[in-house]
Amino acid sequence: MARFIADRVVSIILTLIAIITVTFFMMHSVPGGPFARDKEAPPEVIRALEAKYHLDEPLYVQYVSYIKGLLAGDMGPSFQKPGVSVNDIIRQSMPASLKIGIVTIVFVLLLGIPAGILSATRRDKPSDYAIRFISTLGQTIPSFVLATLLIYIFSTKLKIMPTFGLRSWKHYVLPCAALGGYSLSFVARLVRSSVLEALGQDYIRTARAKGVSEFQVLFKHALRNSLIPVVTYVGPLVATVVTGSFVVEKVFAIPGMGKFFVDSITNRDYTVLMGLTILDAALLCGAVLIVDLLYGLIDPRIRVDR
Amino acid sequence: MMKKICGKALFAFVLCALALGFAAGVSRRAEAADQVVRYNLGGEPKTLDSTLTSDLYAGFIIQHCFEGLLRDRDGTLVPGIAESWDISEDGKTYIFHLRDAKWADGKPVTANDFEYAWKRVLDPEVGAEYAYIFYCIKGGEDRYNGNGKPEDIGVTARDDKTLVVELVNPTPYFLQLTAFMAYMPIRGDIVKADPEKWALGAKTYIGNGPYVLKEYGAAGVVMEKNPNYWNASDIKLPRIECSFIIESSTELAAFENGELDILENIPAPELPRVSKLPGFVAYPQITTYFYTINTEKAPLDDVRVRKALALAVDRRALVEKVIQGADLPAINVVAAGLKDSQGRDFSASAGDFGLDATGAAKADEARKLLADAGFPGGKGFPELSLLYNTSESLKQHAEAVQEMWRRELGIDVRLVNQERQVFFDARGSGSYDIARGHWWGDYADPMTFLDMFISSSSKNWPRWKNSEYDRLITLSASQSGAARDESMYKANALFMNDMPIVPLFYPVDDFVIAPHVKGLERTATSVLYFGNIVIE
Repeated sequence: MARFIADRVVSIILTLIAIITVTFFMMHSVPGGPFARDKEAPPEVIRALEAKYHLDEPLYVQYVSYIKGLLAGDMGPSFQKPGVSVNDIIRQSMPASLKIGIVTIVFVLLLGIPAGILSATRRDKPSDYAIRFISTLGQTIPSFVLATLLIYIFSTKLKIMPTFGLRSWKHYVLPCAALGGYSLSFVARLVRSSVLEALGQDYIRTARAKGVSEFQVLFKHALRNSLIPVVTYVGPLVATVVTGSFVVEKVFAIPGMGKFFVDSITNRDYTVLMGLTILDAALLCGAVLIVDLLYGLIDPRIRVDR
Repeated sequence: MMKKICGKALFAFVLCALALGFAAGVSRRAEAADQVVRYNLGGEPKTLDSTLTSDLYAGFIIQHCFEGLLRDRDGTLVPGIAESWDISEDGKTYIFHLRDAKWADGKPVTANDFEYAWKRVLDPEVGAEYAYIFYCIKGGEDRYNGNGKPEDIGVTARDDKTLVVELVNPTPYFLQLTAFMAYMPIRGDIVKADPEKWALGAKTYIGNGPYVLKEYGAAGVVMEKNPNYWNASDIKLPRIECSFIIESSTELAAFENGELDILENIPAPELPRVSKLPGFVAYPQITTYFYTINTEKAPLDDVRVRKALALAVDRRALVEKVIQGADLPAINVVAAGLKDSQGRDFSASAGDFGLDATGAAKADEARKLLADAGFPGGKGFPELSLLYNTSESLKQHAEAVQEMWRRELGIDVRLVNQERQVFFDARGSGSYDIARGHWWGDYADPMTFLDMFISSSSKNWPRWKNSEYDRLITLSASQSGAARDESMYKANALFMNDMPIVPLFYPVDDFVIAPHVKGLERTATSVLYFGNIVIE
């Protein structure tokens, strides 16, 4: 087990180094600099700004000093927000994304798993059709359409939901629904098919023959084995969702990290783009590692140290 | 049996969870009695430091938390921290006499605070973006270019209450500049203690204006009335809450849901409906939309081709059918609403330069000019590109103009859109044929448009060079009154008769004010001021 974890940590570190290097050089090769704007500043101003942020140095020197800073835990200053460091941006914007993300994950799991089980146990009944219809719809509607639709129905027309910000519990309802709509539908369909598959297995027939109650058959035998694909899906989903969604944060004006991903690219805010990419990559690698470890807990047939 | 119970229990659970998700009461609505205005800035300011900022989001907050020597109240300049001022006969020396005013923390506002702030903008190490707006001050440009010393800059605090400013040339709009955000005083002791972060927190963000910063976070800004402001009795609104909603459709929904009191960013497709709402207003603003023509590229180096392009555009149709707003057709690069020294509207008095004054196209003339240039009916005309930065509305304008040129001149123009930062680079370096351009004035004087086209300007996107134009602009800087007007009109005519740009339209500043909000003011450069608002 310890050996497995150590191996994986080494491979995660190597992956991160590759991501950092590739992103750094790709980012600098994209045309357009951080200080170009509609009201163009005179060349002397651009030169002063580039000197201030060391952008006038050769690229490899910038790379080396960036890596040095990173090892010391400093992701550098933002080029677009004077006085604000990338660490500040993450510290200030992560809580909002984290809160929305966690609520969304809970909402996805609490609704998606039961809906999937229900759909499987009531196969070809009206409730199964209803759940399948809704989840197909949920998977096909893009989140920006869903977000706009939710605002239109619940804020503009019914006037029962706020449109922007995160000031009370009510402010979470629409963004979480918009953010989780796709995943909820996906989880429900995933659980349905894997429960159906499990229920057709020999060990279920054996359990039923032994007189095990239907409740136990479903929750102890079938469900546990059906969770593997769900865990596989939810692990990376957590990493994606907690780092924020550009669309949902933009539509609901949530002060999270999502908008910085896109803004940092359009504004060529190199350090912010690097910082967020590294954070996202690290979270994703961590989530995948946790998923691998969980496999062993859920299904004893899988041994992680092999 | 058990299976059935399980199923029912699960179904009930799903229903409950759904119900919980959607159960809700009534959204937060401000009571009319609350003396607070909830306003969307439209985006997060990059910084609130008046030295470093260049964005209008910060401009709004700076105008409320700081006060310059003068203040723009509803388009009229009134004394601010300066109680009075003397101007020398040659118009090059200004002596400002400061009133007894305090900073928000109770310390007195002195002439040194102005001297410190202005010299900080011109410090090349600081990297201020608005430094060029201080080039009218003696020694300012040299200092910024690294050729001068701070003590040679023509701004001196003679004593705590007297500020002496020496200008390079008599600058008729200099008093206007003293109300501009970059000209605000700042506190040297606070800035020196933490030059990078002083403007990031409400505690250290000490201003001298009508409001103080109470909260500043990623979600928004809260400002409250400053009891230490010298004219505190004049402030009617105690509290302003600003949010940073980027999406204009969300801003509209929030306004219609009662969460905002002013709707400023109207989604283009909703404009026809929103413009009928009670409280809709549209003000002219000093901005011009145009297409810049790369005068170094054939066949665009031929003035007849440029004129043909300008004449074939039906500006009226563009405004009425495509934009469907209150915007005005433009026939000059200088925006409407700017006055000459006699009080006449500059662009209206400058003439039409052969364009139709109502904005309609002059297709026959355009076709003739194109034929004279060697392209009868558009035959043999190379395929040119029309470049714009990715945006839905800019795309609509471009498609409309593309169709007008195709229909009237028989020429095909390829539309090319680029990401913003790439677009700025391409336009700045001349890697384009025809490109989107728009300019909003920094101050209410025609010069804010005219000086961008001198040969040495980095904003001379058409790469148009005319030594007579340069001479007239330089000459006008040392002139005043009617003589200055004459130089500016001559220069403008030189430019427009050579048509290095295709003027399109003057956008209006349109917004909707909730009926309970009374007393909203707007500066000459379109910054809103809330101090006079009363919630009824």
